[in-house]
Amino acid sequence: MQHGFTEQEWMEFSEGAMGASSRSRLEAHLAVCAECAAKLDAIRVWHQRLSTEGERLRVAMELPEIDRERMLAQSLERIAAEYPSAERRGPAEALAALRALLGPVFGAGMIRAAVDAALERGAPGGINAASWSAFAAELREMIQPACGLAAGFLALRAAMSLAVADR
Amino acid sequence: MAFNPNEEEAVALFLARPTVETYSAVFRLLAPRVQAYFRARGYDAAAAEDLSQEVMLVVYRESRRLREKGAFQPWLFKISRNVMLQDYRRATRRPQIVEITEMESSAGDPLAGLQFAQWMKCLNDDERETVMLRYVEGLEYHEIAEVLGIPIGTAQWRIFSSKKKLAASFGHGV
Ligand SMILES: [Zn+2]
Repeated sequence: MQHGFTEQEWMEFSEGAMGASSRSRLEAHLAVCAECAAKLDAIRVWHQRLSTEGERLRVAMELPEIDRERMLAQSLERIAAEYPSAERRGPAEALAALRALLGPVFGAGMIRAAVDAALERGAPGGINAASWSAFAAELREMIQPACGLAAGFLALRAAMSLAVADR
Repeated sequence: MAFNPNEEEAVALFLARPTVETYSAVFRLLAPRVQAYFRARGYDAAAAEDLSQEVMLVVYRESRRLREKGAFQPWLFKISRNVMLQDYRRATRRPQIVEITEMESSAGDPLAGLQFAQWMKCLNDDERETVMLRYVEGLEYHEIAEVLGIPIGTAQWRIFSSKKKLAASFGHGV
């Protein structure tokens, strides 16, 4: 209890959980009581500090994009292995999925061109379940010179994470 | 931290139809936050990655059970917390937020977290976890209540009393 208000009321006021009428009664008191205003101020300072440093910590701990993409490829591989029937698709569907997967990372135009070139070199007789891994290897070769080793590997992993069936 | 409209749409699409595309969109959105959740609680990058993969696999597997996109964020951190508690049971030693000293690897901000870790030392386990969900993960009180399985009022009390403790221990000057 402080100056006619319970600890519960101070908590509700501080955490924005107080009804309008109680709030205006407490605000009226704060306007005339420097002691309570100072105590509440100290709590508000800590709200601000925790917000600032908490956000900073979260941002610093986030994954770099390249690691995120590597993890995504791994995750898709695990899902394909654990749910083999769920995501098996025809070659055309798989190509569309691959473009959708890699487009946001490398740019849609770049991926379209790399996929077309890899199809020409890796699957000259047409893309199917048998030629898919040769195509994936060529895709890696297409992307690596422009975007680096890790990016090429990423494209390969993404392609190999898609389960392709002939249909 | 609330989802923006694009993020909400990605989550809604995924919940309506979990496919490689919709899962990938959700993964790109959420895996970094899950990774940050474990890193902020003292796991090194490699361990945090393993645990994050476990969490995302549960997200994929269990998504059909979750219909409401508004409940997605607390659900995600509830899974993360369960995975962490399972890891505590497996491991011989718990990572500690107060042990975080090697922050430089992630975003080139070597001091991020040092200050926070210092503050967390004066709180008990429950207060610390509640404060982290509120200020690191940026959850609302009702979401924290959902993640921790406690009443909203309890979550508010923990935040309030933590700030009072911090003010008493560290003052409020600069
Ligand atoms: Zn007063």
